[in-house]
Amino acid sequence: MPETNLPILIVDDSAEDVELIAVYASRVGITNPIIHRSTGRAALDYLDEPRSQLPGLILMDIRMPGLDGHETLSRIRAHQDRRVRMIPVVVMSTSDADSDVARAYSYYANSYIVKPPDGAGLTVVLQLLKDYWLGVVKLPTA
Amino acid sequence: MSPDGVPDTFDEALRRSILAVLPDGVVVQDAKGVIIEVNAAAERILGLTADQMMGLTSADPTWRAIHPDGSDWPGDSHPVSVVRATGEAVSDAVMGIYKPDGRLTWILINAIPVGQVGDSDFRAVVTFADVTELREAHEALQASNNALRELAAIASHELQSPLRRIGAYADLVVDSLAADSPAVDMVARIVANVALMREVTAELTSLIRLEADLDRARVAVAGLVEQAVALVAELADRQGATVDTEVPEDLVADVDAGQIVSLLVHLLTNSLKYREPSRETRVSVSAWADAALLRIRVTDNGVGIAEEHLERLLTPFQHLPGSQGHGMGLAVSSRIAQLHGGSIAIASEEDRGTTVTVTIPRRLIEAVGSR
Repeated sequence: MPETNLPILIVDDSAEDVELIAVYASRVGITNPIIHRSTGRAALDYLDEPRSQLPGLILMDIRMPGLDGHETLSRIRAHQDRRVRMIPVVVMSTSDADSDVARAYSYYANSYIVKPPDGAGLTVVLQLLKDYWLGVVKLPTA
Repeated sequence: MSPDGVPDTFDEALRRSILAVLPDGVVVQDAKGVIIEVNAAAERILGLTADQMMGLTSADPTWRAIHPDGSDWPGDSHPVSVVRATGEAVSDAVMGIYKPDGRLTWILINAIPVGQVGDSDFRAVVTFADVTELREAHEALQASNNALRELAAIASHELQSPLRRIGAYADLVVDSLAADSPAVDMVARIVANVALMREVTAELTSLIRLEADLDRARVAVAGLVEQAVALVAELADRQGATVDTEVPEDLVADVDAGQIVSLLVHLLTNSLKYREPSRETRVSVSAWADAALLRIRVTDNGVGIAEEHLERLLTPFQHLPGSQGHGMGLAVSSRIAQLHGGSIAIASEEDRGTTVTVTIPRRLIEAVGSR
């Protein structure tokens, strides 16, 4: 059984989107602690703090004031702590522009998901995230 | 002509008068490429007096000319030089010329040969019109179009996030209500309207993207029609409709294949959607062309469109009373035709059917002075 209870870090400037993700996450049975940072800078600060348990998964928005998702992602991938560099990052953005998708993968995003348009879509996405990233995938723990 | 410059015949006087009143500039070069005659409009447009121009050649450093893309245009390839070298006319060339005061003037040039290349009495006649204002107006229009498009793109994108949230919260509300609550139906209406708005913003976004993405290449028209018909095959099957095509296999055109397929899918979908249920639905697609123009026609035997509605059909967000959809299909189709330098014509008779004809230039032609 993979380690399923690692925290999930959500980086998104919309508190409502985070609330919706959290609500639908709990509805599909995700019990992992959810940590929210609303800017790329705050997310990097969080990852910089010394702690024994890093997030097992990061959900990253793209359009954010200040450091956007692309920039934050590229800094995570260039982080001095190799444990931070390894954390899987799933980009979740409203944008379906090819340029955003290509850029995210070029910075080694692990997946790119266009934010679903409604509750049914969110349920599907979070169920899949749970089954895949928190189910079959072995996440790095050290 | 007499030595003091006074015309000695009526014909010569007439010729000079015509040159003098012409709004277009006229310059005549002799067999050696030397300017031997200019008219008043040429002096005005080029900002040089006749005395300054007489005796100059195209290679003279007095001229500083550029192509529409801003690159230098050396004298040996000016339209008049081409005429002198080849003996063939040059039409509708656009050139930027720096006047002596440094201002840039754009001219539309036509040049023709008179006599045989190599003969000592060979002449090259160049006429040119000042299109500076036209070009500036065109550029200003393009800039304002671009700004509008950007604004629309931002608005459309910014609408998507709140719509997404309204939809997701509304779904949560439905789940929290008792099944028999009267609010269930109301929230369902919210959800349905959110879905409608989402489709409209998505189509608006695709309408805006069209222009940026236009990519023309030579393709077989039959292949495009085949693709479009395949894409609506399921809808046609469901309705028991037949879709016939008649396109010559060797018909080719320089078009954006993806956009033309999408245009045809819009037209075919309309024909299948607005069918007359009391009779078997028949849709036919035909294409033909002459040297210049490609025509694709989609004909159906559907419900037809009343005359008073025909005109506004090509405008975004106009749809027919009682119809479903958001009226974007034909507007998108019309835009695609326009972006190819073409147009769409609709003929329709209520209860009989509709014929939509798309006309597109087969070759990419650059508009005067635009780039």
